[in-house]
Amino acid sequence: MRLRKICILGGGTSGWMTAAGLSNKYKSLGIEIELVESEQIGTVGVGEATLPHIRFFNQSLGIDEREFMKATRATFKLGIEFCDWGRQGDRYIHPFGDYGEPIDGVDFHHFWLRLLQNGHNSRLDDYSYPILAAEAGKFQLPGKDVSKIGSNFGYAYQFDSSRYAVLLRQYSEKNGVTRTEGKAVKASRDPESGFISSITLESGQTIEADLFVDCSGFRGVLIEQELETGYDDWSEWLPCNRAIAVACETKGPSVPFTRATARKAGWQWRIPLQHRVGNGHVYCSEFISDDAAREQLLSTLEGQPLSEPKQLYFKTGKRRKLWNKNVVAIGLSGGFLEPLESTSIHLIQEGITALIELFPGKSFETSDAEEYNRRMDLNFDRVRDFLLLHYVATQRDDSEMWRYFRNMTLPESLQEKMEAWKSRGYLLRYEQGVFLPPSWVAVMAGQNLIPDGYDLRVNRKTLDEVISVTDTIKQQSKIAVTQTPDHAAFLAQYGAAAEMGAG
Amino acid sequence: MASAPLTTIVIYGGGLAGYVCACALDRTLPGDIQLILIETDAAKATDIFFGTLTSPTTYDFLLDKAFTEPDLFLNTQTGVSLGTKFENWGPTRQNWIQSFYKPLPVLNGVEFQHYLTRFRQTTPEKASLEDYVISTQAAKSGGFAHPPEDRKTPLADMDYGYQFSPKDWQGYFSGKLSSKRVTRLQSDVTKVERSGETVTGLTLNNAQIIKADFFIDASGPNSKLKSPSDTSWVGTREICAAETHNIETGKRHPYRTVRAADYGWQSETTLQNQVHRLTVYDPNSERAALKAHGTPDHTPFKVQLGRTETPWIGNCLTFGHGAASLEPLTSAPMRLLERDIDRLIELIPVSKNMTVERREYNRRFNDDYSHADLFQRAFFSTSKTGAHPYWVAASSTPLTKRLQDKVEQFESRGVLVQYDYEPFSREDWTLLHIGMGRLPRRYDPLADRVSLPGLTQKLEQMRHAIDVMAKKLPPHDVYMSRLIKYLEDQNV
Repeated sequence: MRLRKICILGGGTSGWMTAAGLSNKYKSLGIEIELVESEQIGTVGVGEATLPHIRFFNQSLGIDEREFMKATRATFKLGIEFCDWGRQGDRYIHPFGDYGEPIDGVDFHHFWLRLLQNGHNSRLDDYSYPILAAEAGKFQLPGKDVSKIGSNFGYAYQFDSSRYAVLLRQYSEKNGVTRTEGKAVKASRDPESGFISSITLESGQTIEADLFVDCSGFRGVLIEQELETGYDDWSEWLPCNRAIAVACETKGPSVPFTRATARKAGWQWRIPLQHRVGNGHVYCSEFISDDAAREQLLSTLEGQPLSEPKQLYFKTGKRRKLWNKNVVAIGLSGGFLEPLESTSIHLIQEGITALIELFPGKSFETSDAEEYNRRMDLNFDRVRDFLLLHYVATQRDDSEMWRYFRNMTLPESLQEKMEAWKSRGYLLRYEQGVFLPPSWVAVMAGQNLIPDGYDLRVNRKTLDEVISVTDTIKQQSKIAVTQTPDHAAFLAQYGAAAEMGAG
Repeated sequence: MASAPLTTIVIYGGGLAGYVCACALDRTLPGDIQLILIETDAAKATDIFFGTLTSPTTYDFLLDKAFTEPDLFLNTQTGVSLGTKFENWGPTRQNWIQSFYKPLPVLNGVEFQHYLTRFRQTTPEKASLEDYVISTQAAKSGGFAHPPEDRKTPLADMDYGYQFSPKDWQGYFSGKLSSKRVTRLQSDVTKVERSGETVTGLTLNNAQIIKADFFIDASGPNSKLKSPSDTSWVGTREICAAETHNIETGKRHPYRTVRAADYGWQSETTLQNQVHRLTVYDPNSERAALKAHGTPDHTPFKVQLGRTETPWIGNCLTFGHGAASLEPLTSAPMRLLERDIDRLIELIPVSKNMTVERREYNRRFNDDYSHADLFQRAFFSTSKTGAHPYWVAASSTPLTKRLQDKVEQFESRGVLVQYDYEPFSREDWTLLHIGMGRLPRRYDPLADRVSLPGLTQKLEQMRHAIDVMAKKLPPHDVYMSRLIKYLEDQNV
């Protein structure tokens, strides 16, 4: 039998994304959705930078790209620039796209490695159109043929997530989602199943539902405070536990990429929007004081801060079960991984997608939750390994934090990945998980982990042939960039730029 | 490049696995690597366990190594295959065609089979998956034509593998080895020199000593090069197989038939000018099996199903039946042989230090074979059943958690649990589950967003289009003989 009512506890990015995603699918099936949020509780809005998958989320909702970008002051994003990660002074871009193109079935980077080993030094980046375009501050939408150089990339956005939440609230309310102002103070449970039958608000109002989605943030009001699900603490691997964030005025045209700069006790983000720049310093309190962390952030802002910096506390990890009884935790209530690779909103999206595919009926079957948890665990684990890679594929040892990572025993899965790459440029692949081989290549090569060998099939070609075929790709990428408009000009011409002075 | 490069590879074999492997290396490795093939007849014996069916992956697998379909058709007895018709299968005597097809349409964001579950609850006569699978309908009408690139016709969703005789392919690939690169020695190994886990040299019958950097042992189950320290074999079940080429009574189909019997099963496979029979049975039921089979071409062979967990030890890779034996019930044996070869090509050692290659080959090997085992195991009851040794043994093999999850999720709500890089596709699994009578109890509630009349009309259109197309196809025999005639004319 079909379930009748869903209650989403908490607004913010995760709450309204969930409301939008679920109402879009279930509005015609007579399933009622009510979202409870309190204006007294602030939202965190950690993820302002996204991954390309967000486009499919918006598309499935039928949200127009231009309207969305105007409303959220969004810029286009071609990748993330990482500064000072391998060594101080280094920089590289992790692009949304592959390097070059496979030649006779062999990944391009093997050809690049042969060039390197024969004294032909070139940046791997020079074979990537999205990197070159990002460096030049240029952007255009990919064409239909995505194998063609100039179209061989994906893109995402950098946007104001509180404005995104507002947009999705309007969307959800149009779909019939009810918004109730209030703070949950109590939950009632079915004595037999332990399922949550209702929540009671401060006002005394009681809300009954079949399914509760916990989007209440770090506190996990239902999943943890009520159900005591438990938390897998990953601080051992990702010890950063605080962040301080502030927006500042923008100087110069916005660039189509996010920047993550490594610091002594963490790292700092820079996310350019149309009207301002988001900044934040993620750090580990064991290695730096809050004051020093704040000073580090404020002293490196490029423009005037637009508000008081906001302090955040967190513990890296994941809820032991993201779906427990009739509660599904989406967003920070489910887990936290630092936003080094813009995965916060992505993990929300994965949670919503999996919930839709495994949508329960009135009688919850345990197998639904089991499959949901299996999929989400895999997602979280694989993102964790990829984040950790940034801290351990490095030559830095100039502070206590970097020395901590040097001495760490890595998860076996990550250790083997790095060894296989270092030995012969080989990538341990997986199908299920967000970061595919090109992302691993970007970070490992970008942080000076250069393989000793390469796939021998490359040697079927003579060195001159390899030089010629790789040069062609380099030239084509370069030419394609010269034909690409400036990012700011494209935003305006595309009709995605917000009116000036609209705040 | 770091440390000493690899210069010589020895392949010890001479059966199908050895020849295909040698051909693939010959055609993909750079010219400065020497290949030595030591051909022993011992390797040929168990080739019968590669079965007679390949999957649609074979086309690209061969093309990657510059083997073309026309050449294969002209020089072997290979036929096309739309899949396998299982008859009287399992405890509930199921009949279905396990065909090869491309993904069915996703309607309104919902996978097709959820609509069928919805129909099954209202109009069961319209809820048969096979009505919507062009390959199954083509198989039923006995027709075939190559699927076109143009996606507008239902025929584009058809997919096909090959029906072949292992003996025939052995000869074909043996004849394709280049004489320039590959040194062929008709001999056998009498002694293996080792230093720790490293094979340092092989002594042949004629006292010749062969040295190499890397050894591939494709000599069959009793592989001599395999490290004596490898005791990792998992699997105890034994099966036997008997075959006869050119049986007289065979009917000709663009698919293989597998008929269940008390002793095991019997398959008939149509090749270009003959029908091939294979009987697989439990060793305890040999009399009954051979009585049903008729006179086999040679003495039946016995094999222990299972695999080693460490096919690559030191500088020696155990390959083919020395590393793993699968029951030739599906296209799994050939599909996995292809994967073994592609995995090896990706991991040809870059130097004499093979630590990374070994670990990664072994990891992927275990993933692939355990995933193939899930599929093959799913052809049998999930609980121990049957009165006859074959069925008891097959259904007694323990179910893994992964397979339990797959079966439970499908039966519960038609969800296909997937692991990384499984050899069998979602389509293969959907047909198998339904074929085995494992029907979903629930469907995705989003399937209810389409009105019943609208849905009925849409499905009726699909069914009709597929039916018309299947009936328009030329009989596969006629199609194949015209194709071969055409290819012969082109060759002249």
